[in-house]
Amino acid sequence: MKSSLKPTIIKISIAFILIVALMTYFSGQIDNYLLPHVTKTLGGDGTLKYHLHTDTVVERPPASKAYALPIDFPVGDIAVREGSSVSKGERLLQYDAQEYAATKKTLGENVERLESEQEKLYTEYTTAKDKLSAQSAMDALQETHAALEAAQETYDNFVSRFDSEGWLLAGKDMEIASVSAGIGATVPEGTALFYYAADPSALQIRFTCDPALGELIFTNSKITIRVPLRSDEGEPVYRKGSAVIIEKKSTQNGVECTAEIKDVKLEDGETMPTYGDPVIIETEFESRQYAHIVMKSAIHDESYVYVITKNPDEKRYVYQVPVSIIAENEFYAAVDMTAESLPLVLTSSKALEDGQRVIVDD
Amino acid sequence: MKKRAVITSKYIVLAIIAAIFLLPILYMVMNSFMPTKEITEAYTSSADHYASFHLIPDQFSLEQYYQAFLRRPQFLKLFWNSVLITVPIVLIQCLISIFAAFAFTKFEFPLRDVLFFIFIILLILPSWVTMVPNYMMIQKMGLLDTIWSLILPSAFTAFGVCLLRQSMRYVPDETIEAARMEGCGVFRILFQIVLPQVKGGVASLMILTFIDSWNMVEQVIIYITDKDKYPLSVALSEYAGTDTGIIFACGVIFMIPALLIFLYHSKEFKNARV
Repeated sequence: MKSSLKPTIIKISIAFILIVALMTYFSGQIDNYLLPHVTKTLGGDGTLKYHLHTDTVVERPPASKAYALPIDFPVGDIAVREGSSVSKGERLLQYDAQEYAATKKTLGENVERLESEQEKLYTEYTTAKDKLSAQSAMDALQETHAALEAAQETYDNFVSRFDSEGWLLAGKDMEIASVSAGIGATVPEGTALFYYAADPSALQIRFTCDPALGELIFTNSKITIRVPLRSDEGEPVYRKGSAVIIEKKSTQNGVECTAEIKDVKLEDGETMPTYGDPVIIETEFESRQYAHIVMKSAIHDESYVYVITKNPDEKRYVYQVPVSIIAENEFYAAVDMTAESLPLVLTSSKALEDGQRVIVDD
Repeated sequence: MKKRAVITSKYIVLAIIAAIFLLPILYMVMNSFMPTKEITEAYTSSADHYASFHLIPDQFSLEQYYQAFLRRPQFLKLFWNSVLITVPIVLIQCLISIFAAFAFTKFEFPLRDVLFFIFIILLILPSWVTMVPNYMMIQKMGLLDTIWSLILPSAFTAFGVCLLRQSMRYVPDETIEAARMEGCGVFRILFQIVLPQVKGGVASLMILTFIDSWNMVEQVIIYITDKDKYPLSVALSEYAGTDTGIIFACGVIFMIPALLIFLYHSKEFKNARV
């Protein structure tokens, strides 16, 4: 090395030291500036309230409605025919006399058996020698009591629909449109026994719910709605009302529900909406499934979230974790995911990558 | 003709040896210009796929330097840890070695040769032998996990004293005697008469000490537990496990100070009489 190169090497060395010194001083700030800044959110366990249905409008009910029972119906005799007008309490179809007696007896015996079992369990509970036996008897007693209530309701429903000879009685005034059952045949449960003319003044709505939630929705069959009043000027005025679900059936698109509009609270001079008017369903259906709830904006491509972890170097990193959405509403989703306890990225100043370091803005 | 063939074959052998020595450095420099993705693909091995030898980058990229300089502040902090450890060791060791070598060479005192014999024994001893007593002493002094636990044991080596003693033996006693007669004191004789004549030896000692301290590994692992105090020599191996994407650029940056020091002192290093 020529000695004339020494000044150059010194200059290079000084430049190197200066660059490294400056970079050391500023790189932390530069790195912080260049890193994505994220805000975090925490999920929580619970149930999700959600609206999940298609838009709906007021519809005219079909000309006739089916009358079906939730039990098999062996037809003994038929008292009505097409065009018959029946009043409330009149005879319609007869449940086969022998079968009626046998079914009534079976249902009655079931109630008696459960009553007897309940008494026995109550005695067991009151005479239990230790706390464990008492608790066990109490649990069994509660189960039996619930079964008894259900059996009693079934018995009452069965008996109240029929007279003593097994004739099915009309629950309201109606005009028979057609009779589909034949004498001697057994009509399966849920299948129409006959059709009756629908009330032409009745209004109904139909809507479809998410198929994935078919099992979760409708804790009760009465829903709250709002219907618009007819107005020529300005924003439409809505009135609250209710609708009773009269039919639910599963389709490829989801659970299709038909509900009859009832109890719309009108003020003086106001009239009911007419066919085609939009109806707002207000009832929030609550997921019965206890799940992990996260904000929807934290979910990317409906398939993954970024969880924030603190690595041993005390710096925060984000990692992709797949999620499957069970249910969702406007802002939240019930999800199935691992790493539920970790905070999630809610917003980010830049696009994120799996395993990337981030700055978490508190 | 025969002589020419011998010279040619010597050059060929030397070129091959030089290539073998230079290949790792060339490999590191070339790989430092590969993008992270290429590095990861080339060096990811599995049961049915071995890491490949990948010298020429498919795509030239400064990503590793960008990451090392701008995105990994911790890397540069570790670089300064190395500087903080190395510079004091080099300065203290050179200073002690100069004084000790001067005394052993140019002063007459009782048991001088016996003492120097002990120095030679220390030179023969591997450094690992003294590591345990050193650890115990440092522990007693409460210096564990501080950079002084690295600096103090390395501040003195018998090697430096022996190296400079050999250099100073070539300094004629007459020049020292003449300087003394002119009224020079001991320190003036050392720094103005002797040192200019043993610049090569001092440069060699500086380079060797620098390289030794710059590449320090074992002492760090034993004396330092706080990873934030690790020098780059140890931290690099940690980077190799987690940040394959920048390890080559880190290696190049780590190499530059040693290279600059060598280039600066190369003339003295080549002309050193040891």
